[in-house]
Amino acid sequence: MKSKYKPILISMVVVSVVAYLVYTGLRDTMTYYLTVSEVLAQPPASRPQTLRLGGNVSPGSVSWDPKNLSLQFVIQDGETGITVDYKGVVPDSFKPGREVIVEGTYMGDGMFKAHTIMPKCASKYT
Amino acid sequence: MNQIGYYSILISLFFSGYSVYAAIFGAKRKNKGIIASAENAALVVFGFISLASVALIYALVMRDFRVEYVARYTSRSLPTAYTLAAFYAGQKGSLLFWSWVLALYAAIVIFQNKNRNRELLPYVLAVMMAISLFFACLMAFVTNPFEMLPNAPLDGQGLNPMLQNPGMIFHPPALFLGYVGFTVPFAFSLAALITGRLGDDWIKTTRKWTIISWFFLTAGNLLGMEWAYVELGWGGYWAWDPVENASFMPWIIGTAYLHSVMIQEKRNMLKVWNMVLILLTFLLTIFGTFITRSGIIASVHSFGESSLGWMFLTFLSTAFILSMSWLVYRLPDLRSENQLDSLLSRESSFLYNNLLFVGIAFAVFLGTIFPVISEAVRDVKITVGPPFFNTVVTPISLALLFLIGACPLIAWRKTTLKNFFKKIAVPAVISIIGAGLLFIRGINHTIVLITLALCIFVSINLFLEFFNGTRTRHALLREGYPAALWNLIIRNKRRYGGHIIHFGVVLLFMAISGSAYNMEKKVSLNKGESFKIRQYRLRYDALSEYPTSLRQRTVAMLTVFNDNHKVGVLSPEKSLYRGQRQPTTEVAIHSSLSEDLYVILAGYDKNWATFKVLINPLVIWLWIGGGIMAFGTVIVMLPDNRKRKKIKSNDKPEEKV
Repeated sequence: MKSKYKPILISMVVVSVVAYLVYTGLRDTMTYYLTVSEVLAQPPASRPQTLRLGGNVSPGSVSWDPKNLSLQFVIQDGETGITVDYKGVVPDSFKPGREVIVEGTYMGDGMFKAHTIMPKCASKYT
Repeated sequence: MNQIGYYSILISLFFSGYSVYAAIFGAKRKNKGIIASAENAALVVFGFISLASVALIYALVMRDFRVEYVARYTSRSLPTAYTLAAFYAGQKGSLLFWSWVLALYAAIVIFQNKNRNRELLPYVLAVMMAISLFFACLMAFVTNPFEMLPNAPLDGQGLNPMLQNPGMIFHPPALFLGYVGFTVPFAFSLAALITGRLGDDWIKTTRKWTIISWFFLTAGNLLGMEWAYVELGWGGYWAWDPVENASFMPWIIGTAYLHSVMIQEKRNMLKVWNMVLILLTFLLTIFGTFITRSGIIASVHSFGESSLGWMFLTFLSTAFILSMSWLVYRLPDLRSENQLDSLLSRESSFLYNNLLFVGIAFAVFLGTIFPVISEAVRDVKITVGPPFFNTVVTPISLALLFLIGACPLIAWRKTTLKNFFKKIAVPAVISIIGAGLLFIRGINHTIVLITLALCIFVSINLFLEFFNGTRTRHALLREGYPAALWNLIIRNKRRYGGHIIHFGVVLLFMAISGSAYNMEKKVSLNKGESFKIRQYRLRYDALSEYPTSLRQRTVAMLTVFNDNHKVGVLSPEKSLYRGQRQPTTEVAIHSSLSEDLYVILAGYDKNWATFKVLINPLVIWLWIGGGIMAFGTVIVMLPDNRKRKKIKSNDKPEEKV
């Protein structure tokens, strides 16, 4: 083989390894981002295992047990809501009325078990 | 003052535009007078942007709450340092700061090139001033930093408590200096394309600009990590958030560029590739700004959705189309004068290095914009989080780590496989033995073992570089060992400074590998109770609440014992800043070389408090590694006194890279 083509060949190998990593990475780790009404509208069979759920924290729905670090609140999207159950440290910017994204599993019957909550802070940047 | 500020922006808008026009017109006519007037116009821009900056700082310090920006980001009780930092805390101010750095750099470029690069300079200036024009337009017509409120409030809203951290003083300016710094090599590369002067003049001229910008971007990222670690209180320093990715991508491509230009200088190869990399680096800085300002991708850092993002997108597309068209137009002139001779040579190892860097950037780019792509293609928003980035980036970066160690062993042009194995054998065996010992000590995480083995491998090879070089000088030139080491480094600053930077990188890898052994516990304690995590015992002693001028603090006191020796008191706290409605958690960290004990006060009542306690191994090595990288960069940057040396002695020509 001409030496001119060897680097191209090696480059192709590197590129395809990277492409493979990206492909499998996407396949194995992708998470659906849905709104509350989209989750409720989905038939249970086609529901993904873990998903991200976006909506607003319904004011007045928040109950926080600081001793066991257990948080419950309703995430709202218009009229419909889903109860979110979360155990852990609550980010400082979490507040009723604010937009929030939660990641976890939808258990059915309007219950969501979250392992991460990500409040969106308005306007000011870090 | 505020009027002066706004009019200064308008004036600099006009002069930026004039400078672009005069520079191009003057270059076409080859008229020195017109080019000189373009240069002067750029200096005028610098003067007026500085004046606008002073006006904004004056308004901030004077607490002139009639100005919307001042009312929004400061308050009467805000300490002076953070009041000054409020200059770049918000969107409007950060645009002004960006313009100021850009104008400053343009002024420096003009003075540096009074007597050289005269053909390139008008176009360099035109590019920089065109960017300046864009920013001036934004400030004049879209987000005026001097916008006035109809009624001045009695007090401002104050700076977000999370921003009230020393990180705020250093991290954003470092990033801006780095981001904007890449504009200079970008402008030179574009000027080279436009004028057709495609030799490596533009690369040599901008070498120091590239290194300084890279350094600031590196420092900015590391400072940001440190800040997130101590301030955000989730226990980590990197979350693959879109904003982090936004500054990570230009850093990655900039690093690739930093490496590949050496091949062009040394062997006149990879010309197109270098052009592509520097154009990409610049475009990625703008892209990063676009995604953080547009709100198109959900991020904890977002500035809030605004039309500004779309203007950045327009600017980005224009810059992309223009620069790529010029590149394609000049493609025939950019052919390499050399070809790769062998797959196993220094040159090809740089090529692999570049492919891997670009691979990382591509993966990060794809992961960052994936929600947008999937929504456009399949009408569902699919996000990818840290698991994606970790699984993809880890193997690629480990390959890069291997290259750091292997590259010095590979000769230019060609190395035989046999020769390579001979050189690699001893370090490889030692690092495998090292990994074996770590395994016996209980480290059984495969990726961590591979990483640490590579860290040992690279460290040995870097050490041998210094050791062999010093010994040779000692033997040949009869220099004492310290003098031999010093001369070795100082005669080839780029090479040995590079090795020092690489050693810092090894420490970063080691620190990051420690995160595989992170451990966390949540515990609720009554006063006087204690609990154990690994070898630490923490006793909860007291909870005190007291007001300060800035905030209402609630501080928990914990006494920490390490194997029953008292090592100190940790006091994590929750504060409520005046004028802010949300609490701010301040974590407490006990750092040692082997691990950080990281304590968060999660909740409390009269008698008990709930803590989240983490053990994060090796984190401190991130900051130590960063310090070593900074030191190495300083070595690379030391001024050349080779001219003087050449007269004194007739040394053999120095080996580069």
